[in-house]
Amino acid sequence: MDRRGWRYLLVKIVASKVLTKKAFSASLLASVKHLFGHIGLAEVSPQVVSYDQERSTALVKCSREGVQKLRATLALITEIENSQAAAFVLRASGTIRGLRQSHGSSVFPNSDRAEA
Amino acid sequence: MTKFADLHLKPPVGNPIAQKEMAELACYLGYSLVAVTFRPRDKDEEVNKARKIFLDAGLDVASRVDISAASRYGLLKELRALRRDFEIVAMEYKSSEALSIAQRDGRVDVIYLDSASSSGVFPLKRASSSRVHLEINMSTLIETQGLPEHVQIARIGKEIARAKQNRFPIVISSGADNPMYLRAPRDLAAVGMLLGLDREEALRSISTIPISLVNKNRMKLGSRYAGENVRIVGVGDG
Repeated sequence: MDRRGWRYLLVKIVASKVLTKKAFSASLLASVKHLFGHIGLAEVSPQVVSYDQERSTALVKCSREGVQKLRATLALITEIENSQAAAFVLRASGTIRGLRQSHGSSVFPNSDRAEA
Repeated sequence: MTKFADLHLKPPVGNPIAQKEMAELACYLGYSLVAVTFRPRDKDEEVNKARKIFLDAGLDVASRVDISAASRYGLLKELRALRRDFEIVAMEYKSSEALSIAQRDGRVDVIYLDSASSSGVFPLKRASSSRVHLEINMSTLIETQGLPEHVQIARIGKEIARAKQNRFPIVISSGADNPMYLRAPRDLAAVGMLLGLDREEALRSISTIPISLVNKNRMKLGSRYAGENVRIVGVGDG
């Protein structure tokens, strides 16, 4: 059986108020669904793996085929929970280790500040 | 390493804090060149201050002016007055008459359609002598006060298809007037792919195409430029 390939994106969120992992995650799923529908959402399969509230940085996992759609969705986000927001992909990698090596952020799982 | 450019930043002139914020964010996102839009009536002092802020942030800066002429006469008058003062001259689509001239006039670098416009017609037809680029501004997609989102996406998709058919080089820019509207270069390319560009075209539209446009214009505005492919290498005594 073929193993599904994943990509991991390190995302910086700029918002006019402090956001929680739940709020960001809900907004991301809603945006993908809004742009690509249920089939697109299934294809992209976005998941917020971890979120650093202090640094407003998220680690987002998606299918390898859906990475461009996820980037486009993040670029089109302008509002989260009725406040102005923007999201930028800082780096993408095939493994969490690859991201950790390039960005020593606390957003990665098993670090002190990462929100479960 | 790929160099990225955003040819359409509109920081508020006279607000150095907002300019600095935009400059630092653009640098952080990985841009190496940005074109900052000025108005023809902006004072030299303010223009130089803004340039310095962007240069200090570590970015290469090109000056840009947006013309929005509705008639042939208006466009030609503005081009005569402004061409030599700015590295990028862009024209906002207001009328077919001005657009038809802009497509043939080598002094216009970029044409774009404003977000507020409700016009679905953008009659692109490339003349053989034309060097004009079609610009897709991200701000037209994310500031959709004028038209519903799906209509904007469909309209821009059609524009891109027509531009590709007529072999117009395509540039994707943010059109940002505040840091919240800036986007990372590869994210802009992903939106370009969503709108009908293939991966290579999308990456070129944020890197090699805008950078080579600025380089060509800098060469033309330099004192050694004599004409197409002709450069002055020295002046004899006799």
